[in-house]
Amino acid sequence: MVQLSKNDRILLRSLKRIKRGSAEALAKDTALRTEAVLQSAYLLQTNGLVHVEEDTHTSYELTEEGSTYAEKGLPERQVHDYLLINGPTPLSDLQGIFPAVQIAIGWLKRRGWAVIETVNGNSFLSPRPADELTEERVLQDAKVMKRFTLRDLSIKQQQAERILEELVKRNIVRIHKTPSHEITLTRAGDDAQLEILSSADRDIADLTSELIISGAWRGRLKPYDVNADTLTLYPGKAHPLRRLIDEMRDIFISMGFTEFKGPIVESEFHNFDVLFVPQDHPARDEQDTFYLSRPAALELPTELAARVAAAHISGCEGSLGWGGEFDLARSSRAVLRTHTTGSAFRFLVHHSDPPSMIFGIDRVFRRESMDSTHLPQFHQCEGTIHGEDLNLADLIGVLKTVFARLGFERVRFRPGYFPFTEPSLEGDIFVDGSWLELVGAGVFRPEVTQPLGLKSVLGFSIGIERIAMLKMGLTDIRKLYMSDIAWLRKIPSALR
Amino acid sequence: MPVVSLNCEDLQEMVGADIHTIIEMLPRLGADVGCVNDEIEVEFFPNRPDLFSVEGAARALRGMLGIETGLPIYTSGPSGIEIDVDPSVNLVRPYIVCAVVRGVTNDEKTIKSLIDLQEDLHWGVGRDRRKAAIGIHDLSHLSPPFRYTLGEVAFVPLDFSEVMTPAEILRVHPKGREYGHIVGERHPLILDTNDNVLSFPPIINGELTRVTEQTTDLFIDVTGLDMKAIQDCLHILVSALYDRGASVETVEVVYPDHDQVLSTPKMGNSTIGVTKGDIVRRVGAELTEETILGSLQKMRMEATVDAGRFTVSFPCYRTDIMHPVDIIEDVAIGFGYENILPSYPKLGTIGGRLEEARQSAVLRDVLQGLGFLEVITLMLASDPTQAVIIENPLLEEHISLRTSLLPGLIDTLALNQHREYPQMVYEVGDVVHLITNVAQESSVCAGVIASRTASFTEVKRVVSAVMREIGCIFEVTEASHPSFIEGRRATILVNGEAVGTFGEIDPDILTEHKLIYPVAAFEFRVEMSRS
Repeated sequence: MVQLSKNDRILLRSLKRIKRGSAEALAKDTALRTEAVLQSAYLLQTNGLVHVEEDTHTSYELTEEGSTYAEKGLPERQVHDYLLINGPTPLSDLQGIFPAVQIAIGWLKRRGWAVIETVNGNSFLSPRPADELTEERVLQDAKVMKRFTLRDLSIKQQQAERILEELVKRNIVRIHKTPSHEITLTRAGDDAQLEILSSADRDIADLTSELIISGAWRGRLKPYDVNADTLTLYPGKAHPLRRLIDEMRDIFISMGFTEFKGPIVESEFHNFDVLFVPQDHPARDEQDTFYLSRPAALELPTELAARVAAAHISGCEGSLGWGGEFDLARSSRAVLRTHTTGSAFRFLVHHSDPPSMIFGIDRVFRRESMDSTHLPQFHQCEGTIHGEDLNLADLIGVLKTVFARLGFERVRFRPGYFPFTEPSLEGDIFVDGSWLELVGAGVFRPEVTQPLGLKSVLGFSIGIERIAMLKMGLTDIRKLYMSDIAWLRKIPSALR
Repeated sequence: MPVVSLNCEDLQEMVGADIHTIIEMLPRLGADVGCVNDEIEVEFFPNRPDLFSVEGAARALRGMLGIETGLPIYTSGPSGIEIDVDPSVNLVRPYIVCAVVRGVTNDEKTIKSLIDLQEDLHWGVGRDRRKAAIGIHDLSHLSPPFRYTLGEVAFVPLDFSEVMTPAEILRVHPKGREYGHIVGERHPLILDTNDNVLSFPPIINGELTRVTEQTTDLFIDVTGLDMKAIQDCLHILVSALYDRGASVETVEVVYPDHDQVLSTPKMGNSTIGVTKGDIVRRVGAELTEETILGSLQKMRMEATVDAGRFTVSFPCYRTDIMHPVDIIEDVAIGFGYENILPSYPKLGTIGGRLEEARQSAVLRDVLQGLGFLEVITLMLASDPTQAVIIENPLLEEHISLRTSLLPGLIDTLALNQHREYPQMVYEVGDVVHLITNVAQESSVCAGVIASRTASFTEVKRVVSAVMREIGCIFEVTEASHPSFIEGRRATILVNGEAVGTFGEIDPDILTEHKLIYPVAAFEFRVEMSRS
């Protein structure tokens, strides 16, 4: 028999009456705290008696600024009303009357409510007709409510969503997201309830070892409702990004590639110089690359550095090079690697006998702030092929094979640019009616390969997150690294 | 990459094709086309600044579309104008090249295109004016010869009405404040014979030589730190003006120190040699000499061929060509990447994965079998202890690389406090420790259990199961740590060496993260736990 606490019974009794309700509603009904209701609900769920559904509830409220505007009107309305009464007014006068006149003017112009006219060198703001705005209706609706939801507004929900987004940006409305829990009594809960609450003589529900041995179960086992809901069971499993990485690893190994790994803390030399990226290239700005203060510098391989420096200054056989100067102190500065291409060449320096096909899937870093399409850190899949007389056609052939294995049949290749390859290409796949760039690739320049004593080298970098988002239908890249356990539990392992 | 906006009407007119044909062709030149209205936004490659204008893009498109192929011809006669370079400028901005352009039709479109191109060159080649900066002047108000020298002559800067000294400009003028750091205390000036100031490079021009719709004759200066960069800018600019129908004249730049006179711009073609064998080997398509020649002509080049050796002539604005491979790419683009038949390299290599990846896979299997859910967290962290430190971080919580996976896992639990319990999550990933100023990267495995009953005993059972599965014999010893409850934390020892830890997390830390259930955690190094 299930062991129920006092709280559990109170909750069950309440649910027996109202069948379903939010955690807050049930807290009110049972006079328990919301946390206590949730604690009991989750426990009852493990016994299949109730079902807990998790969701997020979004509500809005006016900011202090918003409340002022609800009373007095939006800044642009205030200025417009003033202009209607006083006629065209010099900008300089308005500044004295309305402290935030600049913001108001911006909106007046955008909405076409006023124009700036210049008379005798003075700028006047002159009013134009101004209808009531949907924003203003929202403000009037909101004025009478402390907290409100989309449904509380007198305009269409879709429109309301857009308007509220705008108002949040203007700091007129504040958004609140609170988790909500809807608790429902299951059929099993409904059936089993009386039995649990009163332990009168019933048919046997749980078959025990004693019953089996004694044979006392015969004719006494209660039939179950086979349609009854059961508790959801969550297996331990791999992260979907990991499954994609593993799948790609399998593809490359099956194609004859060997896996390599290189350091995350890298010198500018290996990250940029070896790849013939000029020392004044914008990618090397503090804007785009994370530089390190600890360790600030890494030791350089002296002899190799001299050869690479020579290629930069005066080129190699048949090349002019970048000219100018080459600063070894700059080369030794430590960075978080911005790509895995440098790591591939670190490997090739020590495994310089052709042929070889290598790949690595690892983290790279860019100095980017976080939003729905950017992260300061992401994964790159690097592939490098070293042999005699490799060419652009070979590169296209390999990439077509990789994409086909990943399930992308419709692909195109077009010219690209990287300082270290020539010819360079970019590869796109066709999804949902448009081309999506997935790979940058090329035949490495002689200025890269000759100083390292290599033959011809093909290379490509594939962005992993982009493929992951595509396959998982994600619009926010952050979801991959800030794990929502409910999402991870829900997304099927079989997803391809 | 540089995004250039091109006026559609102007572009259609200069190319001689409709906008749809143009938009279809642009990706085959390697350009991304953004929004299309009256203007199209095109993202060209940074190594092709010659395409950053309507004129340059039109020139290339005419070639690709077969409207006009082969080398464009540029001629220039002498202007008879000289500019003297004073040795004093060596200290701050040693190089200058100039040109005279006459017969410019300065309508709105031309002026806009010219100013856009100037700005794009300042960014793309000039590295925000430091390496190269361009000044464009109305020649009619000036009396040559000119001088390029350090000086303090006061003048009216562009967009101002009062006379200012260079030092005042650096203090007061918006451009002075923005670019003053490039010159510092030394102020290079370009003056005419009457000491009129044309320009205070790379900061601002004089109001005197402002270009208006009435201007027909231009004087152009490019100053900078790198002779190739300033010549590149000049060549790209005058080629564009030439394409608009203007005529170009050379200026004699007299460098006293080097005892040389440079006549600029040098609008002649350059040549480079490349063999048919090299082209076919690198592209991987069976190209005939005729196809190669045709492709080069589409890319606005010309070549002669003798026994499989091409001598390729390319125009002065093609500043990107430094090696025969740069020509080979142009052949491939002219031929069309879509016409290259894919092949597959016949190397016969055998694939294989890293030992480290195999070990991680075993650990992941075992933990998932025990019911743990895998998460992946960012490597950037906020704790500087024993860590690699970023010099230019963007966020306070991302100042270092992580030295442990546990903070990321606790953060994950905090994010999920409203999700169903029990929660068991794990991560196998890299951490980086700074040991005697050297970054040591290693792979670690960590997990957390959050539930009403999570305990030291439960996590010890997990650690024991994992170690048994990977065939690792371990011992434990009690050890305290501020993140764990005193007396409920153990160090994992393998062959006497500490490789990890497990225990119950300190409730103060849980409260900090608004967690209300007990959390037990473990972490150990992957390679050290191998037996």
